[in-house]
Amino acid sequence: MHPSRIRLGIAMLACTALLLGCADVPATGPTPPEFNAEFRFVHAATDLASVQVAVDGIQQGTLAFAGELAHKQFPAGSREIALSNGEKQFVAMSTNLRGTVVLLPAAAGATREFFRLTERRIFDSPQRVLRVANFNPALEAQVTITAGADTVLATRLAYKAVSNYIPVAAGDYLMEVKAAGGNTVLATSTLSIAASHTSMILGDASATTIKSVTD
Amino acid sequence: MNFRKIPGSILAAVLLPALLLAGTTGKIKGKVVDRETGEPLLNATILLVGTSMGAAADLNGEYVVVNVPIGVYEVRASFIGYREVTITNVRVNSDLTTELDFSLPAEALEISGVSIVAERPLVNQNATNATRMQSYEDFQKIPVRSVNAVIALQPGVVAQDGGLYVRGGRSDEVGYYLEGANARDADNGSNAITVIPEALEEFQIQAGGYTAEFGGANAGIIRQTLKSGGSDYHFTVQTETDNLVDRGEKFLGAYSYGYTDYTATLSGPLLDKRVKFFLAAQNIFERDRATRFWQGFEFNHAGTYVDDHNFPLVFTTNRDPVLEAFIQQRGIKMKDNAIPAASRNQWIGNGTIVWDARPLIVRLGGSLSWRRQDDLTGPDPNFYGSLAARLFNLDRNQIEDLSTALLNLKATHLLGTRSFYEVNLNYFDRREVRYDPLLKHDFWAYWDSTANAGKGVTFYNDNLSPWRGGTQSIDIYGFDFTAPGTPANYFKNKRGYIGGSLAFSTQHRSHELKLGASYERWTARSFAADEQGTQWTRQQLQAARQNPDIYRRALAGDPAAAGAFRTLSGASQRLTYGYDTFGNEINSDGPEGPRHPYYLSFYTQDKFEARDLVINMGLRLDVMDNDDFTFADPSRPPWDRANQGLFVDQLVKKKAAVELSPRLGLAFPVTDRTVFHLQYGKFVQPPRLTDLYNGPAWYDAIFTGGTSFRTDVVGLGLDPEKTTQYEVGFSQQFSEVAAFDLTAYYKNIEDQIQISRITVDPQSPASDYNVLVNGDFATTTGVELSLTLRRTKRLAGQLNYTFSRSLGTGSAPNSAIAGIEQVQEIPTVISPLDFNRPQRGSASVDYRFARGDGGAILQNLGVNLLLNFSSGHPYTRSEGEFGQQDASLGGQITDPRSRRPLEAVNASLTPWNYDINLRLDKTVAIGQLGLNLYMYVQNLTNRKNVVNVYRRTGNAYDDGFLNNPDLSGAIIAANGGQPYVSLYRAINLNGNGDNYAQSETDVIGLQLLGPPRQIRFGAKLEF
Repeated sequence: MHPSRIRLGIAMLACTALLLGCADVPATGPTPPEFNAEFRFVHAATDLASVQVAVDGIQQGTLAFAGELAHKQFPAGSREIALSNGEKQFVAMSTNLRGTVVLLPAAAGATREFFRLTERRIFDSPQRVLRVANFNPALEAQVTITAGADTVLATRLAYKAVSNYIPVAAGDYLMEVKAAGGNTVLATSTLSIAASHTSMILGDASATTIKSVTD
Repeated sequence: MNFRKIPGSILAAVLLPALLLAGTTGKIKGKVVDRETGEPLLNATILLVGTSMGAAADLNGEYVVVNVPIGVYEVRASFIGYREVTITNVRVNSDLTTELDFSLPAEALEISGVSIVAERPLVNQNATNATRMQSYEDFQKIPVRSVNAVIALQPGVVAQDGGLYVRGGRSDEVGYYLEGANARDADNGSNAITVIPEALEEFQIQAGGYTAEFGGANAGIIRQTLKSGGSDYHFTVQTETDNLVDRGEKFLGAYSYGYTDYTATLSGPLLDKRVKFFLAAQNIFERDRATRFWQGFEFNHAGTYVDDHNFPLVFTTNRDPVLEAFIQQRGIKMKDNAIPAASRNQWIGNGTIVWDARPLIVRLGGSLSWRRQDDLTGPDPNFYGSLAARLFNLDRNQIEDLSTALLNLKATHLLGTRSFYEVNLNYFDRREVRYDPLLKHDFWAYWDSTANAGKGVTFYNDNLSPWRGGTQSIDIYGFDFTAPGTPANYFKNKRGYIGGSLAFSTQHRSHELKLGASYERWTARSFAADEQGTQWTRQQLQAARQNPDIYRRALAGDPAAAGAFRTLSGASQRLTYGYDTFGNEINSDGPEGPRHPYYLSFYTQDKFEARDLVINMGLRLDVMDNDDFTFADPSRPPWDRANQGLFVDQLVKKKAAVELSPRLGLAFPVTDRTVFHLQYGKFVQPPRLTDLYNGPAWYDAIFTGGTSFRTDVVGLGLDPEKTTQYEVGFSQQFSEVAAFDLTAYYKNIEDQIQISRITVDPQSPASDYNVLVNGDFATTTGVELSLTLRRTKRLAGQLNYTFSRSLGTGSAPNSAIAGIEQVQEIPTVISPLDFNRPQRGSASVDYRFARGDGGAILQNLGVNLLLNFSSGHPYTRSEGEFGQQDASLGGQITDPRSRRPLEAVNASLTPWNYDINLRLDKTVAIGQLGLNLYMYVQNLTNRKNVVNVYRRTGNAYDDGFLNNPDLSGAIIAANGGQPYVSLYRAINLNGNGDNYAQSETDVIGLQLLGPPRQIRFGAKLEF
C-alpha cells in the first residue's frame, strides 16, 4: 500500500475515533413545542347583523345570529378577533384550552364583549356532561332541565352566568326557560345528549331562544 | 503593560524563533574513553539500539543525543579496534539528562563484548527542582490503580474531598499535561483527561519550581507521557474485578461494589518499520461508584417500629393517598454499603503513532474518553445532595454523559545532531450533558403530562407536577424524598481549545537552549443551571405556556422578548452563555455569546550543565486574555432592566494581562552522590472560567437583589493569580542502595480569587451585589522528605513525608460568603487553610522474588504494602440554633446567619487518618505468554477514617442534635417521634453524613468517613 494512503487511513481512523468519542451534546435545542388553543365562535348578539370573523387578520367565516363557527386550532396567546363591521378585541386563548368566543350584544354606548367560555383542555377526553349559559341581557333566567319526571337541573342564571357542568346519562332531556320569578315559559328545547354539552340562552327582551352546542 | 503597543515584529524577532509545548523528550550525554588509558575516543559511535538515534563522540570523547523520547533504552558504544559495550535498562526522563559514560576495552584484550545493566540513579544530578517521576513499571506494583491515587502519594501533595492540593495551593492551581499538551480544564482547573495506567510511559510531578516552558499553573505540574510502540508487536489483556458476590454481600470481609475493568494494549510497527503505534483501550464499569460506609435500613409495611434499621413508613405532610399507596407498594430496603443508582460506565482510549523518517519525526498522541454515570444528586431542593432523597425515584435518576478528547500532533525536524525544532498542533474538546433518562434531550417535555404519559409516567394532571397538589417531594418524618416520576434537570456545556506551537532547541557546548511559545484559543459554552432546586425546565415550560406570545417572539429572536422570557422562566438560565434560551448554540459577541479566552506565552530558557554546577534559567511572558468585561463604574452597573440584561455597549472589555515570570534553578552536584538544588520563580495563572462567566440573566438577577448566599458568583475583570516560590533541596545517596531528598519551600500566593460585595450608588436602580475579586493571599511553607531504597535482596522501599503549613485568608473563592452576606469584614488575617494537613506521607515496602529466585512457587511472586498517613485538616468549631432549616438536617448548622464560631477560623483539626493497602501478585510463564495474577486490598484494616466532622461536635458520628433536647425535642415531636429519630440516624449518622455535604459545605458529595475496604482481583496476559 502506498504510504500516503496509509497516512490518510490513519488520519481517518483518528477522526473517526474523535467523533465516536464525543458525547451526544446537541448543538441545537429540542424542537420548541407549539402551544395551541381550540376555539369556536357563537353569534349571540341580536343587535349585530351577519358578520365575517377574522383572527389575527385571517378570515374564519361568516356568522349570523345564533350561528356558530366550528372549533379550530389557534396559536395560544392573545389573539385579535376582528369583525367585518370594524369591531375588534383581543381574546386570551390560553394554552391547551378549548373554548368558545361568544359575541354578545353591545350595551348602549359600550363596547361589545367577546365573551370567553372555557370548555376543557384540548387533550382531555370529553365527558358526558351538561351546562347552561345565559346570554340574553334582558333576562335573569330560571332554567329547568328534566328527564321524564326527574329534574336534572334547576338553576337561576343572571346575564352571562354559566352553570357548572353536571354529569348526565345519555338520552333526551327537556329544557325550559322562564324569567326568574315568572311562570311564563319563554323557550323550550329537547336536548339529545351524548357528550359534553352547552345550552345557551340567547335573545333579547322580545324573544328568547335556546342554542345547544356540543363542546 | 499594554501588550498591544508592542510591535508584533519586535516580539517575533525577540521571542518567536520557536513555539513549543512542554517537552516529552530527554537527552543522553556522557563520555567514551579507552578502558585502559582513559583516553577519549574521538568519533566513537553511540547508538540507541532498535532506533535510528545516536551520536558520535567529540574530541573530548563527549557525546550528546538530544530529543530522545522518554522510555527505556539499550545504548551501545562502539569504536574501531575496541569491543562494543552495551548498557541496558537506560531510562530517559522528560527534560532531564541521563548521564551514561562508556569505557571500551581494546579488541586485543581477550574479552568479548560487554553488556551492563544500568541502575536507575538514586540522585538526579541535573534537576534544579524537586522532580518526582513514576513509570508504569513503578506503580503497577503498588496497590492502587488510578494515576490520581499515585499522584496523591507524592511529597507535597494533599488529596482531600476529591481535590488535589500541591504545596498549599488551591486545587485549581495544578497544571496537567498529556503528551506535552495542556490537559487542564480551564473551566475549573481540574485534570480533564483520563489516562489508562497501562498506557503510561511516565508521569512526572513537579511540585513547584518548574522551568520557564511551563505556565498557567501556580502550584505544581503533572506531566503524563504515553508509551510508544516498539519494533516488535506486543499486546496485553487485563481484567480486574471485585464483582464476586451480590450487592450488599461480603467476600473476604469486603463488600462488592460491582467494579469491573477490562484493559487491552497493542503496539508494534504499522506496515512500515518507520511507523510504530501504541494503542490502549479500557472499559471500567462500577455498579456502586459511591463507595462508602453506610449502614442499611428498611421501611416496613407492618406499621411497627422494630429498631433503628427497620421502622414503619408513615407520611407526614403533602398527603396524597394515591402517592402513598404507590410508595407503600414500592417500599425501600437499602442494604449496607450499597448505594443504588450510582453506576458509572467509562470507555477510554489512549494511543500514539510515531512516524520516524529522520530527520523528520511525526508523533500523534492523545486520549479519548466517554463515560455515562448516574448523577448522585437529585432535583429536589430541600434534600439536595442526599443519596437517600432519590430512593423513591431511582428509575428516573439524572444521567450524566461526558466525553473528552485531547489530541496532539507533533512534528520534529532534526537540524544536525544537536538542534531541532518542533511544530505542535493540539485539539481539546470536552462536552458534558445531564439529562432525564426517559425524555433525554427534550427538556420541554420533562414537565409535560402528555409526554410523560408516553413514557409510562402518569402525572396527576397537567399542573406541572407528577402528583396532586404540586407535589414533587414526599415528606416522611420530616425528610423530603423526591416523589416518584419527578423528572431530572437538564444541563449541557462544551469547552475546548485549539492550540498551536513551534519550538527550537539546541545543545551548544554545555548549554541547552530552548526558545518557544504556545497559543491556545478556547471556546466555552454553558446551557442552563442545574443548580439546586431550580428545576428550570419546569419553570420554563410553565412560562412558555402562560406567556405563549412572548415565548414565540423570543423564539423568533426578539431580544426584548428573550430577556422577558428568561425572567418569566425564573431567571433559571443564569449560567447560560453561548446558547440561546432554547438550547441552540449561538455565536454572538457579548455576554450572551460563547467566550473565547486565549493564552499566549513565550519563553526562553538556558540549561547550563557543568560538572559541578547546573544553572537552569529562563524567562516567560504570558499574555492572558479572558475574553471578559468589567463595568466602568461597578457602583453604577449598566443594568438594562427593560430587557433583563446588560447594556452591552457600556461594558468595558478587560485588557489582556501581560506577566513576566523569571525562573532560576541551580544544582550543585558536589559528588556523584550529593547534590544541592536551589530554585526561585514567579508563576502566574489565569482565573478559572467558572469564576468569570455567567449569562445575562445572572446579572439581571443579582442587580434585582436575588443572590443571597449563592455560590456561583463570577468576577468582573479578574486579574491573574500570582505566586512567588523559593525552594532549596539536598539529595544524598548514603549507600549503594539508598538515598534521600530533602526539599524545603516557601511560597507567597497573591491575588487569589475571593468573594466581595459591591455597594451601589444610591442613584442606581440596582441592588448591592456580590462579585469575585482578586484579594485572597496565602503563605505556605513546608519540608518534603523522600527516602528511596533501591531493590536489594528482594526488598525495595519508598518513604515520602511532608511537613507543611498553609496559611491564607481564604481556602476557596467563596470562603467569605457568610461574612459578605452578614455585612461583616472579610478576613484579612491569615488562618490555616481548609486543606492544610501539617503532616502527611506514605511508606511503601515491596518484597519480590525475581525470575529463577525462590523456586517454582515463589519465583516472580511479589508483595507490596503501602501505608498512607496524614494529620487532619482544619475546621472551625461552631454552635447555632436550628433556625429555618429542614428537619432532615437536624443539628447541622446550615444557615450561617445562625452559626456562631466558638474559636478562631480553622483552629481545630480533624483526626489523623491512616490506611494500609496490600498487593500480591505472581507472574507465570505460559509458553511465550506471561500471565500475571494479582489481588490488592485498599484499606486492609477497614479503618473508618474520619475525613470530615460536624462543626458542632468535632465528631463524625454525632452531630450534637438528638442528644440535645433543647435543640431537637420539638423537632422530634413534630416529625413522628422515634421513627424520625431512626430515620435521622439511618440517613445522617449511619449514612456517613448523607446530608452533610449540603449542609456544612458548598461541595456536593463530601463524606465524613473515608472509603471502606475493597478487594479486587485481576489477571494480566502479555505477549
